[in-house]
Amino acid sequence: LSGDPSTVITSHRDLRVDWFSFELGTLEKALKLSSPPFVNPSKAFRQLRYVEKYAGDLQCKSLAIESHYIDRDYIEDHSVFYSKSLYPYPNSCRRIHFFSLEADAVKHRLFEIVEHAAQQGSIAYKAGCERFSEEAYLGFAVVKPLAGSPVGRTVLRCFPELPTEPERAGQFRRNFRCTRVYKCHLAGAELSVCGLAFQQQDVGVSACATTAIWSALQKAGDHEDIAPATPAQITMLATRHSLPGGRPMPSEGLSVDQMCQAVQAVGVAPNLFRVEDVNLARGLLHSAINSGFAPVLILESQIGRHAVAVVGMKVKPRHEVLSIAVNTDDAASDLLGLYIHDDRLGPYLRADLASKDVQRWNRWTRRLDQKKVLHVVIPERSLHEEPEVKQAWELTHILIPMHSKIRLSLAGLRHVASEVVKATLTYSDTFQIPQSDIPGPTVTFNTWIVRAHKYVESLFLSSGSLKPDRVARISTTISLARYVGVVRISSQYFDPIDVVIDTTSTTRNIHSLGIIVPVTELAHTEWMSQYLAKVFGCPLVA
Amino acid sequence: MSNTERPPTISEETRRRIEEGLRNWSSADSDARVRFEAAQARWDQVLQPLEDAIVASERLTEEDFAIRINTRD
Repeated sequence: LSGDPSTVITSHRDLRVDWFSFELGTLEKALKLSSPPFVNPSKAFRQLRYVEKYAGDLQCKSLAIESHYIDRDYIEDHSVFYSKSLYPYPNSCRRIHFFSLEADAVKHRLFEIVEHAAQQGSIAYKAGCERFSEEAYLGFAVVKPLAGSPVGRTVLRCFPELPTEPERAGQFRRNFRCTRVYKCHLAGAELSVCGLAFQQQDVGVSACATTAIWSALQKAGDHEDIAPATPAQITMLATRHSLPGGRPMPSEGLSVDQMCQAVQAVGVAPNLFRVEDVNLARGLLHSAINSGFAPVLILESQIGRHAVAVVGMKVKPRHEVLSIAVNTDDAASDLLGLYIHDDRLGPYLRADLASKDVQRWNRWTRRLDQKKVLHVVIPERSLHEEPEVKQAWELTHILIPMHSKIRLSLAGLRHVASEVVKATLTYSDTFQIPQSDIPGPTVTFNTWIVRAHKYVESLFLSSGSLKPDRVARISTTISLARYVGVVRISSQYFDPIDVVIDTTSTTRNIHSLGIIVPVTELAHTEWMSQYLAKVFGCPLVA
Repeated sequence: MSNTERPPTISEETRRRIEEGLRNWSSADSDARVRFEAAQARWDQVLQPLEDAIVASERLTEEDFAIRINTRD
């Protein structure tokens, strides 16, 4: 570190808010950052530059820098680690807010919100804050007083669901279900942004495994009242019982066991899957993201093992049938790529998925076997350095933090889906239905887990919505678990049918809560739903 | 079949068969139940690879938990 504390101690106890016009390359100057000795600026500020570039892509026009901000995550890092250093690291940070309006316009609008609220009251205040946030607030980034790893908790708005560029229109959709709303305050106004928190690893308190879990748990806190764990807490909880890799801090990384321990210790259940089958891995990722559970990917390459948190996915704009078995189609075949937080690079990185044939040593047969693996291809340098360099990582494990009351794993729910598909495919044989009545026999299945009330809401809030009398019947006839597993099947000869599963049950003793049919238009919908209700012995709402 | 086309409606005979099958479902030796059991056994075999993959993904060993993640920035 530099001998001049002013290069690091840039935080002031007296708050000052400085406004800047946004221009690429100005963030480091505005923050007066210089990299510490022995660290190349391109390495020290890689994530900061990515954040700046990302804000530019969101059409950022101005930024405000708060000179003094106490960040819950950093102050805990400071308490357990940095406060015990010889160098006097401050305990406070700075915070940058990004806006899509010019600075003068933002200041004027913020003043207006407060002025209007003073006359109209709290409802007008909330409405004004939400309207302004929707229109102009792009998010915030905490800047830690660590010159070598400055990017702290950063929440930026996600890109819109549909691509805005005309040349990419209709090519894909973005699904950012693993995000939540974060609120912060500036100049008396409450600003909100929907995203998932990102931060870079500092290799002191946290490395990639800790940071990936930290991001994933931010979303877990959105489902239940769980205080988000700080990186320091995660590292300490992970290393409480075993230290196979040596000292906990400075962080030497975590084992998968330690990652599971940390997730469990904060009150969330770690669901771990080994990637043995490419289609299954894609299915689990699709289900987890649709359920709003941010999965942590365990990756391997010649560099070593790495962990990243998934924030969302890129999917086909419309479903295309792609059979994974005879007459069986998985909605997960729409998955084109993932959006990940990679603490070495930045937030919301687009990672492509690619299947690859490899040869693997089978220790039981003692010979090389052909195997398909799933590669996650991450753009390593997508900012100023061209051409883009991509690094392919093999996905070896998926860790999904879920509420501990959910006993049925996503793989277990997929087992249920397989049984539902099987029963559906027997329909024509059971009732000797002529082939001409069933023009396209392929059955598409989709699975996800959701809070029961949100599932019911989705039925009448989505397009092609449920009739109010059916909503009333679901609410008064089916006793739903806190979280329900949903297996939705659809085909050309019947409308979508939901088989709703109690997630507190287990794969050997599955409790089917009911069959729910949002819309009945096609001829076989009524009969198929009655048939499934008989096969699975559960009530039908149709 | 295009999205705008509708599949043919169910014939009276098919409808009668379905209704009868559902009515007698509780009887394990009804015609519909017997055909169902046979069809399910066939589809069990077809979808077995999907089941095997699910079981394998959750059959974790000590090696899985011992994996160390330590890629540095």
